[in-house]
Amino acid sequence: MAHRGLRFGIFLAPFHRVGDNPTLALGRDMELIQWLDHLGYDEAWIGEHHSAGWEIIASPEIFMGAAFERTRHIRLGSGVTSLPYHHPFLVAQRFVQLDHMSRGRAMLGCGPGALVSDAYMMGIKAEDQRRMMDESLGAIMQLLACEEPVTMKTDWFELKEARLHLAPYTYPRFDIAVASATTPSGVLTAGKHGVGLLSLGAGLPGGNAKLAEHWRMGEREAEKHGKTIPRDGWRLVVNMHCAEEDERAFREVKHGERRETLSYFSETLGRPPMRSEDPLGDGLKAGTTLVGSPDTIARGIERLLEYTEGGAGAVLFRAHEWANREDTLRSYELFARWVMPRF
Amino acid sequence: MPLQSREWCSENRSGIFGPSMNALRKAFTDAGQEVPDHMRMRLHTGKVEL
Repeated sequence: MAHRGLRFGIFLAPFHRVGDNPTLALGRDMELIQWLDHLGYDEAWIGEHHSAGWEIIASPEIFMGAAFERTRHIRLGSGVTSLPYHHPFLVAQRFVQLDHMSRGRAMLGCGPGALVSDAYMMGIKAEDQRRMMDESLGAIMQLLACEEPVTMKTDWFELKEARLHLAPYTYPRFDIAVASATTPSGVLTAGKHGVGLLSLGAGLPGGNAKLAEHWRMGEREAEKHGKTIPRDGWRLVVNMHCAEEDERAFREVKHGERRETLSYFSETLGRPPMRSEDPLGDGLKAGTTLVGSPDTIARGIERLLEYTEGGAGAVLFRAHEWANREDTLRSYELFARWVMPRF
Repeated sequence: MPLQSREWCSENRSGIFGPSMNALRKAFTDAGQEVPDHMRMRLHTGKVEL
């Protein structure tokens, strides 16, 4: 057994510098998933974005379909499907199909849509996105339950006696998780529907301090709706880079991190709230970015789990290209060899 | 095309990303919570210093 229960994986937006050959960048993403599968990582979540040129996967389902055929063990989820961009019936149908084709290795991650520029192009108002996500997830949960036909009408989609023509391969259904970053909206939605949580806030400055509070908020919301949210379905997303020594790890990522922060998050997106100006420096101090030797990383994960006040099911690393390809692949290998067995 | 999409986002930051500030604030108030101070500052200025 590679490790003792805590699962590890990545959250692959992905992030690729504009100007890089996108065909090769997509190829590196696939190579990374295959490498993680070989190393014994448990899961990878693949993003959906449509603008700004950095996060270049538009359809996690297409990527997952190809990756399932090239891997043997790793579970793959959408990280995340931006629910307001799709009719919920089609989301449910597509993931049921992926669940069958992967023999139970598919997972559905849900979110309101991270890039407002995507929503803008489709004429979706930013202030409506979270409500739409909640409405869509409610419909998806009813459809996946495969009980009564679902009839439902909102101001943006309608279901008329809708039922899936296949039940999920996984009984009663595949894993579903909601993304939570800067606001309480994600954790409340996860609680309301009794599904897992992807805590992206764990990698943001100050995010760790709120982890336990957020989880309790989700538990209270679940109770209100007669649901439960299992800690096993809670995933913490942080930045990580591992090398033999602390100094070497820091040296390998320093330049790439600055380029990503300045070129993408500041100059392109205007640095979203909660996003630090210096995620490497601030994150290292706060323990939200783990860069260093295997021992340093292991201590960081222990601290991260302490913040949860009861544990979580998985730790996911936000996939980045802060270091070059070779050092990035080696980072994941060092982690799998020297850190993973401790957890 | 990736470069053009990036430039479009960058050059129209306030128009495109500005509404997300209100959406974030709404997510807190909908949950019955105060908007955190550090977010309130950014929400008010809406200005990015590079």
